[in-house]
Amino acid sequence: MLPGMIAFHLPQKAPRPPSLLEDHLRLSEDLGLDSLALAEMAFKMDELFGIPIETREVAGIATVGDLKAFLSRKLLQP
Amino acid sequence: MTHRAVISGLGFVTSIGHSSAEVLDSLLNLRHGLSSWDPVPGAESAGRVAGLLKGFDVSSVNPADWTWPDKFQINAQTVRMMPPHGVYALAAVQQALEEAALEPADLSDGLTGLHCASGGSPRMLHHHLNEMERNQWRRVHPHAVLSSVSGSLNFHLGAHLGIRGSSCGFVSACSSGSHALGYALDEIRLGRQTRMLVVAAEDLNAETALPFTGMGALSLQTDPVLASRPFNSRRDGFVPTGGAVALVLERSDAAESRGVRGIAEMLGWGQACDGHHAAAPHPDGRGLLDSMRAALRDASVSVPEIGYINAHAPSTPAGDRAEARAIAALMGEHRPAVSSTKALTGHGLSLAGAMEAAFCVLAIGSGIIPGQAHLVQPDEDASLLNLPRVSMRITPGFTINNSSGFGGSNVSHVFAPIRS
Repeated sequence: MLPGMIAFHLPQKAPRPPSLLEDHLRLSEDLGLDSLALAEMAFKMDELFGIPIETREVAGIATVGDLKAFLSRKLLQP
Repeated sequence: MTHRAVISGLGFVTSIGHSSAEVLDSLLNLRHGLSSWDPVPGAESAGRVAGLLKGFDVSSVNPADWTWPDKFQINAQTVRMMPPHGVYALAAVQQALEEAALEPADLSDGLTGLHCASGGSPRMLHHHLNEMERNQWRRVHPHAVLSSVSGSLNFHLGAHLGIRGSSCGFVSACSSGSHALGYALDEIRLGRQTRMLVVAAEDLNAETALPFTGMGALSLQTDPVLASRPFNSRRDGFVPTGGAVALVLERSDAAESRGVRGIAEMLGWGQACDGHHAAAPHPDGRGLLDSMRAALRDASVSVPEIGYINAHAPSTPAGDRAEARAIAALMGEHRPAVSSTKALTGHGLSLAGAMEAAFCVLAIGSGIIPGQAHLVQPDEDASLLNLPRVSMRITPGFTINNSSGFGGSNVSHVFAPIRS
């Protein structure tokens, strides 16, 4: 689900199928995700999983792998 | 040197059609686009008739739910941050660029500007503020501002279309669209831009329309045929509509160099404020009279040359009366054809001035004068006007488009056939 969500928020001029979203790719430099797109994804994750996620928590996330790890941590939090 | 400007492309998402051909057919046959409306199911609100936008559904506060006719190439990702009327605007822009024979890359030449008019989206603002309050003001959607505030239309279109020239939004209530076009002409005449894309759009939903019930401005009629009756003695208020219109305004020599002749020429414009009341027009339409005079001066056109006036007349008792008096005072013995196409479309608020400017351009280009629909008995002031009951296949020649907004903000444009 996460690769699909990232792919949806990518700039339209550089579409990339979700299957190519490898963990080492940088969200900003490699994929062109801006801070607003990250905030939008945080909002959607909050809605989907019912976990409060602040915009500032995702602001510093650098790569696809970091984003996956962040989400895993949030889901495991009591 | 003052440059001449022509309109080379039009796009429509209106209650009377989503293309120039459909709109022209509706204007020619006086086919209205008004329907029964239930803006808040179960509520007993006024405003039971509206000019609906067929084939579009942007009623959800979630853009992922929005739908539009297949003929419009609109990407779901593009609209996810937009206000609902952004969808209408994209559809109108697509048509205008096609008619003007422009490619997307042409818009990024630095000499193409963008002027927009919209009142923002009260629906999206209402939704996001409600959600924020429900969450103790902690959590708000990242698109809450971008999808709702006045100016959101030019934010999104400027970015999406890659505009590198001027970009500005206009907010002067029901004359916003006319201001956007008037100042676009100035950009060209002053040599700042060679081409201007003018886009006006408005939501149609409870949040945009129903607040007007508080001032008694909406018609209380439930019959679509009786609800919007500009200049009629028994009119009782306006009928709301939304949609979008796009116009491509170009320096005439730039259009010619591309092999584009244009549909009509925009000769000038003028504006004047009533200086009278925040909502009600001056009883004699003194600001509108002055704006028409200013537009004619600017266009170097005299009163006897005017063939058609597209009146603002929204079907409100005070508004139509003031405009009828202003037109009669200006025209004197000359009696050009006058009609308010809001009888067919409803009143598009920020959209109205640009929509009716586009109707004038279409009428000039197609050689028709739209008649006054739904007119049974003109009131005393309107009886001084020449209000044809049917549309005529006559080239209107020099044409005035009037708009009036809250605060007595009046704008008039002058258009003419392309000179051969």
